[in-house]
Amino acid sequence: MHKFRLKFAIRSLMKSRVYTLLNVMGLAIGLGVCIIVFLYLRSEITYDQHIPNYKEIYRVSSVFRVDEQLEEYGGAGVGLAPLLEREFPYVEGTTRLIHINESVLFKRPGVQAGNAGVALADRNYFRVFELPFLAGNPDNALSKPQSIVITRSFAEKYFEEELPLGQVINTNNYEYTVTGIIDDFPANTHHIFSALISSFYQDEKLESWENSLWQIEAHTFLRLNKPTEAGQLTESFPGFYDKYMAESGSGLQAGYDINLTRLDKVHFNNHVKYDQSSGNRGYLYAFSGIGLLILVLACINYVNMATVRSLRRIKEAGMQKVLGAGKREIVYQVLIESLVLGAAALLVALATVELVLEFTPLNSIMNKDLSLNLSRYSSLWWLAPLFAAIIAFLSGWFPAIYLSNVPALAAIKKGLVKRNRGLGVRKLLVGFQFTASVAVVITATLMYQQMDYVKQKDLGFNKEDVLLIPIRDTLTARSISDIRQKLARSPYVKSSSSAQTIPGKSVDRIVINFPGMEGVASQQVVDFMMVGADYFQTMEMEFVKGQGFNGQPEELETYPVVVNEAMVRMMGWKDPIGQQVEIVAPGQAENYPGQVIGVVRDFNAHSLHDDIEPTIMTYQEETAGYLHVRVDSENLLSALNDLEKTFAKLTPGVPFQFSFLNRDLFKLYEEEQRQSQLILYLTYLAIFISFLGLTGLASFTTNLKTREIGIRKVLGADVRQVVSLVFREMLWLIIISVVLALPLAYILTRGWLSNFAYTTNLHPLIFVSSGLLAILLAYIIISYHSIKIARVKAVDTLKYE
Amino acid sequence: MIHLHHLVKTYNTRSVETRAISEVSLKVDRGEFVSVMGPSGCGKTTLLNIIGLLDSYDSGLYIFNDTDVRNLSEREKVKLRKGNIGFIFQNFNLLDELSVFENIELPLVYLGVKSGERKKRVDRILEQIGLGHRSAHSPYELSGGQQQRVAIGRAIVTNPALILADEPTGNLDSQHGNEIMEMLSNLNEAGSTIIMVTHSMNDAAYTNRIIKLVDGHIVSEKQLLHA
Ligand SMILES: Nc1ncnc2c1ncn2[C@@H]1O[C@H](COP(=O)(O)OP(=O)(O)OP(=O)(O)O)[C@@H](O)[C@H]1O
Ligand SMILES: [Mg+2]
Repeated sequence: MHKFRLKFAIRSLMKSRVYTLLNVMGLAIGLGVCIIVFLYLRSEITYDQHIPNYKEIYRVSSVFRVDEQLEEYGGAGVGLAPLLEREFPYVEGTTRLIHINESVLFKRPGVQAGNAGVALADRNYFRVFELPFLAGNPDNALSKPQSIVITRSFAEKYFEEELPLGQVINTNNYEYTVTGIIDDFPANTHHIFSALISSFYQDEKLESWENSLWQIEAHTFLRLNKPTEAGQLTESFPGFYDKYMAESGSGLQAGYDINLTRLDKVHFNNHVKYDQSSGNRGYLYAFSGIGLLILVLACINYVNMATVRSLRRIKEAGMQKVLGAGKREIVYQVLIESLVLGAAALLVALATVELVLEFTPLNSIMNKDLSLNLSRYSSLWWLAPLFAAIIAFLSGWFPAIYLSNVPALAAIKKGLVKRNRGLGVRKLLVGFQFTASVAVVITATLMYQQMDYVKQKDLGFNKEDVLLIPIRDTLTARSISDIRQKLARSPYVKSSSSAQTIPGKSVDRIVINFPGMEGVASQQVVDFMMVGADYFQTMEMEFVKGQGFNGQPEELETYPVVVNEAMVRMMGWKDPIGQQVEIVAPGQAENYPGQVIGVVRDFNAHSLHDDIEPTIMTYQEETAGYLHVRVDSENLLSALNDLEKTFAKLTPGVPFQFSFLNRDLFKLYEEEQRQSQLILYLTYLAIFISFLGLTGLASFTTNLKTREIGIRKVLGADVRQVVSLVFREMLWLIIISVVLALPLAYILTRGWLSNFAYTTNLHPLIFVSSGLLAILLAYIIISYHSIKIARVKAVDTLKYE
Repeated sequence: MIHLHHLVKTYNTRSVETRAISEVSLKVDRGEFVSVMGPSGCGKTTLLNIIGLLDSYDSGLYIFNDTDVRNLSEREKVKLRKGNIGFIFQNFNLLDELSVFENIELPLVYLGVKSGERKKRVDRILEQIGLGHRSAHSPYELSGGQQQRVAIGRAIVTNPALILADEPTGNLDSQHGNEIMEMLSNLNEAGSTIIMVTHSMNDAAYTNRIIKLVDGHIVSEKQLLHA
């Protein structure tokens, strides 16, 4: 009996192949998106849960109070952990972790050198984080200096065939012995590294511990046995403060407190500074919303198309009833078909998801390592089929009921069943689909435009062809002028300069006094940059008045400073050159007197999210920061070669690292870039789904009109007239959807664009042309269907019941 | 077996009220082979549909196998129809998705007959209608006459007490038509009650009794005596 039904279902699905194909694809998209959203959500809400004892681990964050302002940092002084352990016996263990943000170059004879993300940890790390070891002993893996615990992929990369345990690996300066191997981290972990180096062997004296407490240096973790102990600890922390910190605190006019966050909760605790990048609940909701939206759109399609098909099956259903089928049997039959479709769609969805995650950049866009690893997500085994079944069931319900209500007499008589029942609802649904799609398309276009604008915008300096080399060690800092002299001789280097900061990244703020002014205007907080010689030339910045710094200034009464136009505007200076300023140096008795020697055209020292601030720049040659090198773009490789040689000669032993200014700057918009990419994906899906929806509705409408079309043709209507007959029926629907989509898209992009201080113009043409394009597309789809029918011989359409 | 008493059926369309069946009284006994004739639009199909429990009526009495069908629910009607009444139509109404075999099998599926038993019975029917070699074919691969034979096979596979046929030869040439009529009269001889609508005197000659309908009234009944 069931077998017969199944056979019947498959047979009748195979009979209308195009229908089945479109439907399976539509449903597969809905399911596929839901599976990806599921994987994403799971990954987000199971952060750090791969650590077996994650429920016992708490991250310590420091809350500073300065001028009644509270600021929270995701780390603490290096002495906090040992002191807490000493003061509170119930603290089971503590550990400290410091990430080395630039990757470290590892070398081994016979193996290609490479970079790896590394962190430093104290000896207790694996006593707090009970990560399983593949080799080695977690109890003493980090108890000796120069020990290194590596991950599986690190081991595979550097040791290939050999057993790494006990082997030695070098960086430029040090030699490490491998004492343990752990598994690779999943992507959903807050603190990630590929190797962990034992550290914190410096003088562990109480005094130096106490002195460290006001500096944020190490991510600090506690292990507690009972959850109540976390509250107990934070409650009794003021006692700790009084004992160790109150004295220095009153001197600083500051306060300090700690917060404890359980490890798995750290991810969404994203207001904390000095932290690894963390999660965003807004994303979570947005993703779930998108998943749901796509699913709803897909289900609308399914219902629509299944209903169209039901129309052609009215007679069949009637006949089944004549032969003895009851309502229940028909419902059952249609639902089985629906389930078969759902199963097929699920298979397609799973395959597509696998392909998408494997071969498209979606994972890197989302910053995830999602995969259809059924052993990792065991719940998918039953959840996905169950979900597919429910969706298939719900979507099949409407057509099932519709067909089961067909009276037996319909097998013999025409016109018994109202064929256009629910047409209004269906139109509404398709209109909704269309509105959503057009809105998404416009949004994607505008986002793309803005990202393009961000890339192209004149920032007030030339960001192209500038290489940045970090200056981290004193050797490099001291060699800067030698390096620059040597570079000046390279035909491929146009100019070079050092500066403490890169525009767009961590520009300092500083307090300036204006001796000539009174009241509020006499003191201002402005942006502050310290730059070396030739900076303005290297960055190709324009001077509006005056000039830049000329070499090392002699001992002067006043320091020369350069300001930007915004500063001139703020101060209302008529003649800026020669104006006096005082740079307030915090913690020092005397202020630095300065005198304006030049005004540069306004430039974006911050990302385009922010406005240009009044900025003051001083001269400083020997400074940690970045060497900026403008190279000849035609000969980039030769320039790099010269650079590397120069550095190798003058700063031996320091690994040569560089980056491109324009790329670094574009990284400031990583988040927006990611969003616009995701929207692009969404756009493809939305377009495809509304194509399906429109196809369904168009074939439905033409179906209803088959007879009418036939008669009109007999009476002499041509194909074009037939097309417009159907198109007219749907034109209003489409126009209204497009009109509704325009403000929707406007609102969506407005919100997104408001993150930028500088935006591209919202050109009305985009809205109009997107709308027209949508109408054109609809016309094409509708034409296709009407022409198909219009081409059929009139006699045949007349026979059609 | 069938007892109609002053049966009335009217269709209300827009302003016009059509009396399709008007005060029809009729008795059909088990084993009879009745033909219904009359001009187009006189109510033959309507009458057959009412008898087959496919359509409702407005007033009068209809007793089928000692059951008054007036107040039966849809579900009870299905139950009564299943296995008791077989239908044959002018345009065959076979399901294209299913093979010849499966078309005939379908009523047994709805009756809940087990698959082994189904196969036995369908095979027997296939033999009876002489289409054993075509069992795996699709209906549209058959000629009109063959299709009608499948439809007959489908109507009789449940061994129904009553077979209703609405112009079964209407779409066939006379040779195929006669084949079908031979089959029907064989079935009748084997014990089935048959009511058939037809326009053809030739077909009517196969039956025992001719009922003539005009404007929803029975105007004459003629008993035929066969040699
Ligand atoms: N659904 C309906 N709505 C309104 N009137 C109907 C309907 N079905 C049939 N009629 C009318 O009822 C009358 C009887 O129709 P019926 O189909 O029973 O005739 P018939 O004798 O079978 O005709 P034919 O020989 O052409 O098949 C006709 O006048 C017809 O117009
Ligand atoms: Mg008729």
